[in-house]
Amino acid sequence: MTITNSSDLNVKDISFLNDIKSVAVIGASKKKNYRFLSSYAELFKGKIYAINPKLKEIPEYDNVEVYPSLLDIPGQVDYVYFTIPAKRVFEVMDHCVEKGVKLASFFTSGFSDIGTAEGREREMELLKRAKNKVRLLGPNCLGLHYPKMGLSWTSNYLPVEGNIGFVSQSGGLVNYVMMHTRELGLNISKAFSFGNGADLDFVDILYFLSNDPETKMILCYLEGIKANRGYDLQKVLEQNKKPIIMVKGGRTSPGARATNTHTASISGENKLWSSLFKQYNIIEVESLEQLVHAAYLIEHYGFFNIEKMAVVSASGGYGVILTDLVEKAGIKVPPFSPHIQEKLNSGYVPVGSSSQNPLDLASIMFFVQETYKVLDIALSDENLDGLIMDIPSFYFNKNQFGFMPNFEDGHIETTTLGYKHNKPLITIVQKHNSPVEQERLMKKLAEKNVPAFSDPLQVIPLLPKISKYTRNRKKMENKS
Amino acid sequence: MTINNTSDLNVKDLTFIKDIKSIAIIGTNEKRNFGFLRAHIKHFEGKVYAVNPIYSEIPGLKDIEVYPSLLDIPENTIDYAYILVPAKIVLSVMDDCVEKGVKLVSIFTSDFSDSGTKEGIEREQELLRRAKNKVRILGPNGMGLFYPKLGISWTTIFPKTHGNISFIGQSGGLCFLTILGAAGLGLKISKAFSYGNGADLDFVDILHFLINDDETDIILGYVEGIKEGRGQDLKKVLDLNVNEKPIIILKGGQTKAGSIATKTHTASISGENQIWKSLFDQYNIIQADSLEQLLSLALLIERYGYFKLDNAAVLSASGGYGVILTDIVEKAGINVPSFSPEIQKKLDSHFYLVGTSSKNPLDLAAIAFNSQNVITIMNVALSDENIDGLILDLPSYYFNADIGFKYDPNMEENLVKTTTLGYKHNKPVIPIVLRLNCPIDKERIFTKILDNNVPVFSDPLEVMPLLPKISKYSKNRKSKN
Repeated sequence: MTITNSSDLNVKDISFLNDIKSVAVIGASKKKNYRFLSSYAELFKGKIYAINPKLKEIPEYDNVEVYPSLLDIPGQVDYVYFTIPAKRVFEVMDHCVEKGVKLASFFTSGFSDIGTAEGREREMELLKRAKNKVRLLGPNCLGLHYPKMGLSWTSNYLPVEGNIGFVSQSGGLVNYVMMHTRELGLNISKAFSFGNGADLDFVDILYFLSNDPETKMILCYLEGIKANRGYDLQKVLEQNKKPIIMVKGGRTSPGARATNTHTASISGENKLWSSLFKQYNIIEVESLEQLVHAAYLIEHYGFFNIEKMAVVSASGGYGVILTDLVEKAGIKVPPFSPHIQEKLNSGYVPVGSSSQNPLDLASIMFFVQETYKVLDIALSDENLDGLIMDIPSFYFNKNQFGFMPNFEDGHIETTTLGYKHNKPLITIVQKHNSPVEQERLMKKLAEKNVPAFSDPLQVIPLLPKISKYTRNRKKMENKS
Repeated sequence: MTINNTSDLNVKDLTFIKDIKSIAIIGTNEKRNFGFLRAHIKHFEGKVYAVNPIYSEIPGLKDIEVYPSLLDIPENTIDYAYILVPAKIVLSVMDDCVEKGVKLVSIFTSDFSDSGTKEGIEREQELLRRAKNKVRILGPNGMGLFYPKLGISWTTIFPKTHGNISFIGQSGGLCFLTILGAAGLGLKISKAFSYGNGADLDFVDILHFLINDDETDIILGYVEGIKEGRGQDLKKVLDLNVNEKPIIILKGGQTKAGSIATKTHTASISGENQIWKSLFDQYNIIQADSLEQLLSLALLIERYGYFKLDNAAVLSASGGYGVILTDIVEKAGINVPSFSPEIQKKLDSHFYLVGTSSKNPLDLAAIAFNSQNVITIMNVALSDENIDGLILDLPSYYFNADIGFKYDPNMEENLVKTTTLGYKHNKPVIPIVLRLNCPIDKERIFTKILDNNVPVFSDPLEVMPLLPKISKYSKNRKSKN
């Protein structure tokens, strides 16, 4: 294990973690219901050990071998998970070095995160003991989530192998993101909670994900980096070719104050971060919800550039509001091209609808085939880059139009037209008017890989962010 | 029925709608499954007649009296008529309405000025002439009147319950979305008006009525534009809002493309943005950017009244999420200050675990699994006199049987209770129940929290921009009740 120094790049190599085959949990106890150990026992595809001097075996998990000390284990141990109190970690760390452990995660807190001289010294001592031979995640973190190997600190949700990497300074947020992505049908390649980042930090992990063949897109929650890591971060970003989506914690001064108590981070100058994000084409979002939703859009529709779009609504008024929101976000809602407009006009029989952009479907929406035709024509306009449509959930109530055969599934089929035309089709499934129908529709749309949102303001601000990313990406590709 | 001209006020009176005792549905047909007729008979306690020359009885509705024409109805007068005959026939129906003494009609039929054709515009003018200022008109191209207290509704899917929130909607579709959306949030409607083209009764008339309506406390509106020449009347009506009922407006057509769309939609000219903006400022009108915001603003004001939220406590179950929330709150212009020293001291004593933080933003981490303690902590935080309210992150997975309850069997009951603590301290508590991590649990918790009359949201960016809007409104109120 050496520090990679090619091209001045000061990052620690963790490419070995794609080959983790054995895990030892330090501090598994029946009193805590074998928290953590139980997850490894249920999910991990390799060899599992528990270190506990008081136990001989754990009847609940017969695939776990119990040893009094790490050094008693006959075979190789790749990964060690620490859950013992801070004062007791040092001796075990010595064992890790002796045993040739490659990576250790420290759930334990009480190091630099508590803000005392004692805590900071404890963290320094831990690093010294690791002798640059064992790489550390934490302390004060959840560690590594690697679905492909079934490696996870929680068995609350079955890990499914995917292509989205997540690096987070906060452990709680990794849990949130894991659940959010699961619900949207997105899957994780690897997620890292690195807590205080005493050894492995944001820069190291970003470098790994950026070069990891199992990761296509990188999500980040970052509060700050150590003062001397700015240059390294720039180096890592320079060689990166994957989309990076970022929530930066501590953008305001009370937020920054909170990062200090949270992970002992100094979140730094706002302007520096802004210019860094701009320079390296990083998609910055405002909330965790936006982080996951931006990933969701890119995962399904790739790198899109929406400058002009069609707006489709079942209600004229709602269409006007959507149009205002889209335009305020800097996306144009222009008239259709003349030949498209002509085609649309011929299909628009009912009074009270409008065949212009924004399309006001009104009673056309009672008919699945007609709606499909209209959207198909609108999306074929070469002047338009995408389409946003409103799906009023109450229409799908059995007492409204839901009783009509194929009404629901037909309309859901229509929303896949974005794929036919290779243009993003965004659906807004209004929440409050029929919550039961809304949840059902959201699920069905997710199954069809159609991005669906319950509030237009949840998605519209993301469209210009992704479009800007795509334009900058193309510019850079053209340069190189 | 006269035009009310006191103090130069050019508005039409419609206080009579509280006394509607008989309804005729004109043009009900099988193609629409007699939907409008069914809707009006469902809850209305007075008499409902069907007018239709083809049927002598309505299939499946044998008790309903059907007459070939309005004039054939034996009753002396009919208070309210709902018209859905084709546009060309509407004119002669209007003659009958005048003769029968009908006070109010709703005209669902479109193809008047909304069609944008000369023919349509002339038809609308002719309609007005025929009404002779004796029959008040909602529409054409509107859904009409929803008045649940009397059981008047154009669809069977609206709730029967009635309340104190009224809605003026130029768009019929938005009336549906607003009424159903309000019901989903537990808000109850007093009256809703879908006035379509506004040939006769328009935004100004209805607003005037609602400002003076003792059954209405909060007024919501969707407006695309008003007719030229009505600007002064609108201002005078707003001057009359002496009780300072909160008015929340969603203005359609704020952008160029949006304003073009309003033209095809209700033939409105949505007018200069700047003029609307200064009108909203002058009359302390709260402006919503989306329908979702309109409903959420109504929910917050209905539940928490006129609050001023300058300094907020933030409480989160995850340190990182708390940092993000704090940034979002601060970016909205609300401070997340340190607690007062004596409050801080009290809070410190309740944070017994490493990895938590007793400072603002409060980072509960594993303390959240001791839900009784969360109640105590929130009570202390809310008792800080420098804090005006609290933003609370409740991750829905805490309420999942496989995750949260493992640690604390009373978790759900206690955490739902924490959301009600705002009422105890008379400060808004805003719970955010993240939808995406466990949608099924989220839906259950949402319902429970709403049933406790607490506003709840599923995304922080959904609610944060609304809080400064309400604070500004509250500060600008002349009477500070």
